[in-house]
Order: sequence, then structure tokens, then C-alpha cells
Amino acid sequence: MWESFLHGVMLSFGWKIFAMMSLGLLLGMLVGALPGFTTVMAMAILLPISFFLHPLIGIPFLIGVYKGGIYGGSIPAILISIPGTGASVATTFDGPALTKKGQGRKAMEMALYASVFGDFSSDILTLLLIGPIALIALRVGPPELTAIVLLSLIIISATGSGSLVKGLIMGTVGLLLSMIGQDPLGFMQRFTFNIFAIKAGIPLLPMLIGVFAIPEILMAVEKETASYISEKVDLSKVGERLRFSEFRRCFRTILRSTGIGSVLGACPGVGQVVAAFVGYAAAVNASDHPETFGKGELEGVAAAEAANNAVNGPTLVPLLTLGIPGDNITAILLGAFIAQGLRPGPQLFSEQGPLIFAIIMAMIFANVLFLIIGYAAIPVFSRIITIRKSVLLPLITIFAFAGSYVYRSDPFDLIVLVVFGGFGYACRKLHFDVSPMVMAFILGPILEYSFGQTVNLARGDMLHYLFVARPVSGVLFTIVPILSGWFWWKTLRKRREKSRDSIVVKGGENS
Amino acid sequence: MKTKHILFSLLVVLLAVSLTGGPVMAADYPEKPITLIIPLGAGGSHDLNARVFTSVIPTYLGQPMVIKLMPGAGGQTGTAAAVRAKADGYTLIFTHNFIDQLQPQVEKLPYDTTKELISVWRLNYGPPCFYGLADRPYKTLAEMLDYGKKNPGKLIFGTTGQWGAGMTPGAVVLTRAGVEATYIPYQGGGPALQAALAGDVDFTVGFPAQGLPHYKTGKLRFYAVGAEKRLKEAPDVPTLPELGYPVGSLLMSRIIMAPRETPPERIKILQDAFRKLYQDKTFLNLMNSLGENVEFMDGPDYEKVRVEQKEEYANLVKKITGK
Amino acid sequence: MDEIKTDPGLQTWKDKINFNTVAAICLTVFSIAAFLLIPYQIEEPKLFMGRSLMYMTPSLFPRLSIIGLFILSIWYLTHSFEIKEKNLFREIGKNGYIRVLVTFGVTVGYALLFEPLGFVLSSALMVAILTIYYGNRNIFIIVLVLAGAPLGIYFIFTHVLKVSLPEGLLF
Repeated sequence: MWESFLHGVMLSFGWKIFAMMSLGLLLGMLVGALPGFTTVMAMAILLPISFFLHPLIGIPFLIGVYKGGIYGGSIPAILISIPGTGASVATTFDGPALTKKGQGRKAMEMALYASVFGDFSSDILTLLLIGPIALIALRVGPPELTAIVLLSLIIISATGSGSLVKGLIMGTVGLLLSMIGQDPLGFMQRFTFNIFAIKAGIPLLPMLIGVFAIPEILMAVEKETASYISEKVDLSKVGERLRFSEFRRCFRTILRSTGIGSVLGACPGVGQVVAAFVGYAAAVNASDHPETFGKGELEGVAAAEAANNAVNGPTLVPLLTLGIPGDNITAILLGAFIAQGLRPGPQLFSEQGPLIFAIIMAMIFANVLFLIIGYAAIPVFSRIITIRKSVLLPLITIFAFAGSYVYRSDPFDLIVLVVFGGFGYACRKLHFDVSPMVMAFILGPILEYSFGQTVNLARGDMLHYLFVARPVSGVLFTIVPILSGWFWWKTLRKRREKSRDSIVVKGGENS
Repeated sequence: MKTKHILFSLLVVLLAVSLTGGPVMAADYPEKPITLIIPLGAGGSHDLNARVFTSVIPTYLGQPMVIKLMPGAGGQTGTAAAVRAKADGYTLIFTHNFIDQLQPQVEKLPYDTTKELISVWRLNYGPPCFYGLADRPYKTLAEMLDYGKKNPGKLIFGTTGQWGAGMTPGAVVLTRAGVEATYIPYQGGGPALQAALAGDVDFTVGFPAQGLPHYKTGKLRFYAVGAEKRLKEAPDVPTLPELGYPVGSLLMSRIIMAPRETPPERIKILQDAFRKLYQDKTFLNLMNSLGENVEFMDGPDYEKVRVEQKEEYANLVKKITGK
Repeated sequence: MDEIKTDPGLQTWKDKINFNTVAAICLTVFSIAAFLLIPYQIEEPKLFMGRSLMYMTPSLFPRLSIIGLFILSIWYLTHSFEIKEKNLFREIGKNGYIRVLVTFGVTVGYALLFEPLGFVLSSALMVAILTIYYGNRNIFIIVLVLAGAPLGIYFIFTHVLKVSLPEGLLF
């Protein structure tokens, strides 16, 4: 084992590997930054290139695309409120507000550092704990997933900004929206009104772009100003860099999110999106000033980005050790592996040990390149929003539309985009926060699916199945009420304190 | 005023450019990239197979083939789009027999695949394999079915996709044997394999590429292979026909289809390109390392198979759902 | 509602009603309507060898969510009198309204024309209308954006990234 590890480390040093990995990172960032192009699509598009390369070059190239793609999604999320990939939805909660304050570059740098830190630590963790993580991955079946998603949903629901009841209502609306179309288990139609176009459900990306980007455009045209960002901002300050003190302030949050991301990454079927939400929610909960979140808080960007990138390392474990792709991204990596004649699975380490260690080492080195390339790219991107409004807004509109369309080339998706755009705008004006809706929309189907599977697996005897037949789920289901109770209690107490404070100070201007 | 003038003339120019690209002669087909709709998601076996052949076929076609993933509603979103597409040979669909022939039997659809799509080429097929954790007391398919019969509902079957490639063969075998099993749906072959390895389900039906590594370590037991020939990597595992289950309509055929009205000479050009593809070393090597066979079938031959499938699936659905 | 500044003691119930109350009433009505729609809009699973494949019915989650929404709406309704939020629609101003409506109208038109006209043409049209409407009078920039952006994006998306955008009348 040790020998093949050392051999692997030796193998992973090579300029060709670094060159291709850098190329992969750059391409991944660029494609991930294009709205509508998910990381999965970026990888699928670039997969054939890897067929014709040596495994030690082709696979690091794809891993570069993967890492770059997850980060790249945060760029449009921060700048123009279009989440480039699903994983960067939580980044849109604070990123665009920072941009409007003229701190877009700061936010992007924070996103980069948090991403690289989360990614790097989770890769090291993966290298050290590959055995235990593989064991966890096998223990997480439908009941455990139900518990995890339920806990995530409860934690997230406690953290909306503004009125509590309105946040909960939006969450429920999100759940209901996710139920339109065929039900995930038996493919029965629900609330489709016999319209074929919505049989597949409301498409996620157009909805996301609709509720986040279109309202930004409409708000920007309300006032007759020339610039997209706030008038008060000194344009020369747009390029302002992140200060070390600001990074240090967020470091605890980054650590917490990295932990959350790594743990959730080890559970198959959870993924980057959920990790980013939970990381964000946990940061809000732990903060002394939760009211600044959602209004342009650097810590919010850090929380979401560290968490989604920390998922990257552990998700590869089931693929490498068992040959099981946990999601679409790893499915594409699996394709790349087997097209190279490497069959991930139990024998891979004994047969191809050095190569696999070389690939993991390459992943770790990739983070260094990631930092450099990201750092070089940020100034270019951060200038974008200084383009005057009369040019920038039409450009954002094109990207929003093209991005909604490319996912599945259905003109119906553009209608979804516009309808949710109008809806999102109204929500902004009436103090409804759309983020709980989006989170519930994404988590709802996962919860329903895993719960439905659990009910079938239990064959009518839920209590016995959950607590006796599966000890892990028993433990989890005991923890869920305790943890969520504690979480809610803390949130409610904080809210009460805040509202008391604000009554004293401002005479009760806020809810 | 000036602005308006220039803008107007620009629009006129754009329009003029667009109108000159009128209908094209068959002789110079294809003269632009061909769109290949995949009604399934990224990273699945269709996506991978398509990435392989679309990266080689431009050599023989002279134009690239662009993959357009249109997942949704179990393949219906993409199929509907293919049916609606212009029949000019520039839109094809890469689908499989369960979407093509079985789905119309169980659901009301706004299109009729038999009437509206024509086969161009069958790329290959995936043999459905029955496998599960090796610690189970039953050692053969017959013993497993026997166990299931004696203990109604106790045998747990991990399926993928309603009426899909993983579920249909399992359902057919279970129904024929009269076993009342518990079905657990999973979102794809990966999660189903994981459930089998964790022992959550007693068996699942998947393609050999995923299961074989675990067969070699002895963790998984293969009960049967849904193909005419035994697998060369697992020569001890009997085939379904050997066990008395005909396998013809249970294979998952990966097929390229076009809208029915597509000019025959264009389909011919496509078929010629595919025929040459099957002599290409790069293509054959890549397919081999993907673990896929290259049992192709020409369009007209596959059309005959479709007719048989239609009848078989109709009977099958009648038998299983009792309607 | 904010202009009316009366002594809170003298407020009648009419003064207390705000947009939140209206929203709460709408949500309550919506949840009742959705609940009544369940039997018509949710199919029950077909039988498979004489029984349902899934133990959980597809209407369970919608039912629970709708009941939850109903309870929350009632809570919201009772709570709405105390929420002091400004209806921001009132702060936009007439000119702002017009600009928002025109912009939204253009996006709706863009969505409808995207496929029939094709990506390049519909985008060029949208860019032309919006950029001039927002006060761009520099003909060089207008032409650059109107022609460059759609063509550039079209080329990158279809040729480099190999995804398809509607061709429409162009090409």
C-alpha cells in the first residue's frame, strides 16, 4: 500500500498532467460560469477528449473540469444573480447583494478561497479515510437518506430572512411546486392538468434563473440610472480586493462548511446543492448577526462555496472503491475510467494502486492550480458589471434565456423562466424570500423518493425497520428531533432578542 | 432618425441572409451538424455510448453529430421533441426499445412512436443480468424464485425506472414464476447496485459492466444473464433462455431513429456511415473498453424486430397488470 | 397604507388590513382549492399483479404539504395585522412602473419568439429594443452588441460547446 502510494506520488509529478489539469480547470470554470451549463454538461461535453489521452492525463483533466465547473458556477451567481450550476444556488443569497454594494471582486475572491480550502481539505480527508468513507457510503440507504434530508430541511427552514411564517409558507410552496408532474416513484401524474409539457415537472434551471436573475433585471430598470450597481458606489472601488482580516473572520464558517460538505459528500445521493444549503443555514445559525445574511454577507458566500466544494473529494470514494457512481458527475467519470480500461471497483486498488494514488494526488495538486487560475480570472470577470446598464441588461437577458434553453431545448422552459421571473419580482416587492422555496423545491423530491423507498423496504412495519433492522437509521432518527429542536430553539431565541433590540432602537420598523 | 435607419437596414440584411439558406438537395446531405436527441440524462449508458460513437463518426459523415440531452418524464420529453422535429435528417433520436415500444402500451402518449419514427441503426444491446449479494441462502435463479414463492413479499427486487431496462426483465421473470416480490425503485443502475451490495435488496437487474467487478471478488452472485450467449467473463452463469425464459424482447437495444418522413436517401447515407464506423479500430476499441458489445443491426432489420416487440409487450402488459 | 397615520387606538379593522392580509387570504383560498383538486389531479397507481407496487400513495406528500400550507396560511392571516412591512410596489413610481412593464413585456415577447425567429434574430431584436429604450444612442455600440453578442454566443454554444440553439430563420 505504502509503496504504491509513493509510486503514485512520483507518477503524479509531470508537466503534462499539470498542463492538462490546468486546461481542464480553466475550461470547467468557463463552461460552469455560463448559465445553464451545469458541471455535468461541461464534463459530458469534454469527456470524449479524455478518451484519446493517457489515463493519468485524461482523468486529471476531467477532474479539473469538475472542480472548475463547481467553482465557475459561483461567478455569474455573484455577479448577475444567475446560478451557473445548481451547486451555486446558495451563493446567490448573498453574492449579488455584495456586487451591488461594489464588492463583487471581494465576493468572488472569498468564493475562490473558500472553494479551494473546502476542496483541498476534503481531498486530504478522502486520501486518509478512504476505507471508512467507503463503509459509510454503503450504510447510507433510503432510510438514512430520509433522515439526513429531513434534518437538512428542518435546519434550512429555520434560517429564512424576514418573517418566519412567510419563510415557512414559501418553503411549503416550493414543496408543492416540486410535486407538479410525474411523481418520482410510480410516475403517476400530479397537478399536470393534462398538459404534456409539465408532465416532466417544472424544470429546475429555468425556475432558478427566473426567480433570481429576472427580478434583478427588473429592479435595475426601476430607476433611471446608467450603472447596474448602486449609484452610491465609487466605481473605482469595484476592484477592491478581499482583506486578510475578512478572510480570517470567515474562517470558522469555512471550517464548519468544509466539515458539513465532507460528511454529506460521503453519503451517496445528497450532493453539492444540499451541502451548500446546509452549510449556509448552519452559518446563519451560528452567527451573532444572522440578520445581515441575505443582504450581502461575505460569510454567506464563504459558507456556501466551502460546503459545495468540500463534497467533491468524498463523492469520488464510492466510485473508486465500489465502482458505483453516486450522481451524474461521477457517472461520467466512471465512463472516463472504463474507456481507459480502468474499471473502478474493489480490484482497482490492488491492480492499479499507483495509478489511483497518482490520480488522488493529482486532485490535491489541482487545488493549487485552481487557486492560481481562479485568481487570474477574477479581475476579468469583476469588470463585467461596470458595463453600463443599457448594454449589460440585454446581455444578461440573452444569457438567462440561452441558459434556460440549452438544458433540454424546450421552448416551454422559456415560459417557465418568464413566469417565475414575474413571480420572483412580486415576491421581492412583498417581502417574500424565494430562497426557502427553491431549497424545498430541490430537497422535496429527494425526501419523497427516499421516504417512498423506505416505506417499501419496511413492508408495513416502519418502527421495526427503522430502529431495529437498521441501527444506523435508528441512531439518525433519534438524533434528528434532538438536533432540529435545538436548532429551532436557538433560532427562535435569537429572533426574539433581535426583535426586542430593534424595538428599542428603531421603534419596531422591521417585523 | 439615423439610428433607426441603420438598425432597420441591419435587420433587413439579417433577414436576407437567413432566407438564402433555403431547402437543401439530398446530394449534399449532410451539410451541417446533425442533432442527436437523447431522451435520457447525462452520464447514463446512452450518454456514454453516444459520446463514443459521435466522437468517431464525423470521419465518415463529414459533419459532426451534436448530442442534445432531453431527459424528462421517463424519456417522453425527448421522444416528443424528436417526433415534432423537421424530417430533414438533421434531427435523430438515440433511444431504446422500452421507450420506443413498451411505454406506449402502459401510458397514454401524445405521439405514436411506431407510426412517427423509423429505425436508422441499432448500435448494440445491453444484456440484463440478475445479480444480488452472495450471502443469500439461494444459489440459483430457480432457488431464488422458489424462496420468493414460499415467502410472498419477502423477496426484494431493486428496480430502475418504471417499465425500463432494469425493471421489465425482472418483472417478466417474477410474473412467469408467479412470485409476489417487493419492488424498490432506484434512480439508476448505480444506486441499485449499491443497494444490492449493501444487502438492502435481494437482487437487482443491471448491465454486466457494473456488476462484474464484484462478481470477480465474490461479493455478488450472478443468477442469470439475459442474452443468447453466456458472458465470457462469467462462463458459469446460465443465460435466461437456458433457464427457460425467452430473452428476445428483454434486451435493451440502443437504437438511432429518425422521424418517419425523413427522405430515404438521407437515411441511407447515415446507414453507410454507421456501417463504416463498425470497421473503425478506434470505435471498436473504445466500445470494448466500455464493456459494450457491437452487435449492430441495420434499420430495415430492426423494423421487423419492432413489430414483434409491439405484440410481445402488449401481451406482457396485459399479463402483468391484468388488463 | 403607510400614508395613513392614525392613532393606533382608533384604528378600525379596515385600517389594519395590509397586503400581507390579502396575501394570506389568497393563500388560504389557494390551499383549499388545491386540496379539493387532489382527487381529480393526482392519479392513483395502476395495479401490478393485483396490487400497487408502491406502499405509499402519490397523494400522500401533496396532501400533507397542502394541509401544512393551510395551517401556515391561517397563522399568517392572524399574524398579518402585526407585520409592519412596506409594500414596495408603491415605491416604484409611475415612470419606474412603465420601465418595468416594458422590460417584462419584451422578455415575454423574447420567450415567445425565441424558437420561431431563432436565437440570433430574436436576440438581436430584443437587444435592439432594450438597449435603445434604456437610452443607448451610440450607434457603434448598439450595432456591436446587437450583432456581436447573439452571433458570438450562438457560435460558442453550438460550435464549441456542441449544444443546440434554435436556428429559426437564420442559417
